Formats: sequence, C-alpha cells, structure tokens
Amino acid sequence: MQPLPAEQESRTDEALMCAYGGGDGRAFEVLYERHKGATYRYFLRHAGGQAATADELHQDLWLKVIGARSRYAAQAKFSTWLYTLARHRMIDHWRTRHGISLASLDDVETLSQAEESFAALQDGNDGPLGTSMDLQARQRLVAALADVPTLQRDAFLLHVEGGQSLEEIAGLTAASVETVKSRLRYAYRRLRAALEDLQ
Amino acid sequence: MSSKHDRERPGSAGEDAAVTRAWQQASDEQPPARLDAEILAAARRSVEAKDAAAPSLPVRPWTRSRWRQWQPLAAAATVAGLAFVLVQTIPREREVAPPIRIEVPAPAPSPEREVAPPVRGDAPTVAPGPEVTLESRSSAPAPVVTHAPVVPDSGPTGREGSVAGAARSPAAEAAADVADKMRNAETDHRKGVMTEASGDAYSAETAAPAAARAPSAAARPRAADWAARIEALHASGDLAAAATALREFRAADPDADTRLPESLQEWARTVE
Repeated sequence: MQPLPAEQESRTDEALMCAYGGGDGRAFEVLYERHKGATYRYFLRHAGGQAATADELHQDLWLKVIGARSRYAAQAKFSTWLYTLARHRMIDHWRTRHGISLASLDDVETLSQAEESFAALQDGNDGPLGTSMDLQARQRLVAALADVPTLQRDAFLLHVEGGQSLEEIAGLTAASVETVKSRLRYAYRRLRAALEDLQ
Repeated sequence: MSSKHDRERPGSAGEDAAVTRAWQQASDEQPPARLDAEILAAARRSVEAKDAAAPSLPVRPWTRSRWRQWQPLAAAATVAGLAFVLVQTIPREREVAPPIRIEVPAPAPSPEREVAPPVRGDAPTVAPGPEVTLESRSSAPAPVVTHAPVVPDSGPTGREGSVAGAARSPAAEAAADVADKMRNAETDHRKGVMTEASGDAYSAETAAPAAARAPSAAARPRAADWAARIEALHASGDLAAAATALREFRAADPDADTRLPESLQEWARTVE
C-alpha cells in the first residue's frame, strides 16, 4: 500500500468517515489502517483464535461501514459507532452459529467472586509484567482471556483493543458504568493470575 | 502492524497498566493482506459507483447464499402450486354426472291409447307407448338399454291391482298412478336403493361405470316420472294441473323443459 498523505493521517476518524461519505476513497484507507488491527483482534479473541471466523466477521463489519458511508453522521465517536457495529455482528454470529445469546453467557456467580477478590487485586504486584514477553507468556495470556466469561472479555477487548472508555462501553453494552468496572476488574484479575503463574 | 493510533488507550479507573501493556505485546495480530485488499477494493468500488449500497464481493462459502434466502419463498410457491394442481384434478360433480337429456315422444292422440299404469317388469323391451330416453354424456362407451312401459293392451302383466283397458283407465287416473310411483321412487331413492325402471320407460347407459352412473341414476325416475305425469295431465285436458306440475318439475330440475316430450315443448313455453 502506498504511503498515505500526512494531512490525511492528522484528520480525525469522524472527519475521515465524512470525507469518505463524500467520495474520498483515500480517507477510507486511512480510517481502515487505523482500526483494522483492533477490530480484527476483537473478533479473533471472541472467536477463540479461529482466524476464519475472525476474517468473516471482520470483513462483514467493514463492508457495513462501506455500505453506511452515505448515512454516517458524526454525532458520536467513530470508534464507538464502529464497535457498536462490531459487537452486533459478534452477537449475530453467536446466535446463528451457537444458538446462544450474550446475556446467557454472563456468569453472575463468577462476577461476584471477582468483586470479592477486587481488594486483593488492588494490592497486586505487576513486576513480572513489565518485562518483554516470550512466546509462552503470550500464549498463556491469550488462553487466559479465552477462559474469561464472555461479557467480561467483551468489556476488556472494547477497552484495550477498541480504546473505549468505561462510559462508552457502558453505552455500547447497555450496562451501568459500575457493571463495566466489575467486568473489567474480573478480566484483569484473570490475566494477571495467568501471568503470575509463569513466574 | 498496528499504528500508533491503534494502540493509544485511554486510562480508566481500575485499569491495570501492566496487564494492558502485556496484553498489547501479546496481541498484535493483523487481518490477512488478502482481506485488506478485498475490503479496500470494495470501498473503492463503492465510491466509483456513487452508490451507498453495500458493495458486492465474491460470495464467501460461510455466508448465507441467495438460494437459502429465497428458500422459504420457493417452498411456499411449491406448496401453492401443488394445491392448485390438486384442486384442478379433483373431479367435479358436474363432470361426473352430466345433465341428462330426456326425449319423450309425443303421446298417442287417440283416446284408446291413454296412458296406462306401467308394468314393473324390468325386461328391456321396446314398446309403442311413451318412451323416455336418458342419454348420458359420459364418454365411457356403454350399451344402451331401453325400458319401456307395457301398454294397456299388453295384458294383465302390470302391477298388482291394476287393470289395463281403455274403458277402465281414464287419463286422470293414470296421472294419479304416475304420481304414486313418483313418491315410491323418491322413497326408494332416499333409502339408497336403485329403483330401476319403476314402471316408466326410459333408456340409460346402464353399463356405464358405477361412479359416473350413481349421481344421475337418482334423477332418472324423477325426470321420467315428471315428464309422464305432465304428459298425462296435459292429455287429460287438465291444463292447470299440468302447468302446476310443470312448475314443480322446473323447480326440481332446471332443465325440465328439455325433458318434456316435443309435443309439450310448445305448450311448456306458454307456462310461466
């Protein structure tokens, strides 16, 4: 791919999407370059590492973005709109392929345990995490997230990969900010535990 | 490779920076170049086409095909078509039992040939008396058997109690007798019994298939009896009674006029 002009790089997501809606094809290239990795990993982690599924969902998402280019209005952050589409696509996938809903995956009991252990989490030592990771540590971390209940994993991916704030995640998932916090704490705790086991 | 923008994450309460950092090191997958090329090509096509609709891409094996989308409609159309064919193939009553045309020759004009009580004998005979012929429009070939009443001068072979003879059988009495037989025929019909040739002359395709013959068989004695009764009343000069009988016949059979003898056709046209 040819290098994109510097002025395109400096534009906001919303401006780029509006420009694409107006017929600027280069604006979409910049936009896609910015978000493609995050959206792909969002689907990849939710799909348990299945690349074919992630490919399908990723492509569907961006085709939706392309199809909606003339209807897009910059009333909210582009990334929030983008991850709303991504999450809906993910839920559709679960429904059609597995016949389950996102709500049924919410492990309330596990969430409660996470809440109880939150105090211990606050005192955690992140010393080993500051070092560079080897392959085993990466695999362990990815596997640990795969074991996290879906709603907690979803909150974590929206936060870490999608760059969404707690409030934005709460709006995306139709949950309260406190609930989102709880989900994130649980996910962080599981990942920390996975990494500490490596020590 | 992820861009700088891709990895800029806002801070939030409770965020574990170390875990986030470790995760970002562990998770750096990117979509395949082939996928990037397809998406960017679709974006370019969308701009070039000036069309905001979803761009077309080669159908992926995991996506729902158009055929699957149209399957419910196709199934519904097939069911509707089968239902239509079934309805068309079900035999209708009119096709099974076509209208019966009765031809009754004119009665003998001389008073000596007044209508006598028909004989119950079933032997197919050809008699010079009034004859009612039923012609079925069924396409099935069948031999035609003619049943005719025995004329009065054929001897005392009639039903029990009847005496044949011009002197003892006036036309009115004959008409009353015909009416009696009509009632008997109706009673038999209600019992589901085929009272074939209950004294009236008629011809029918008795060898026709039973399914095609059954509906019309019930109408045979009635039509013949009606015609004979009206003819007898007309011959006796009681035109008012004959007209009344004709009206009743019309009420029972829309084709009543066509079943009358030709000699009564003109008179029948004057009866409203």
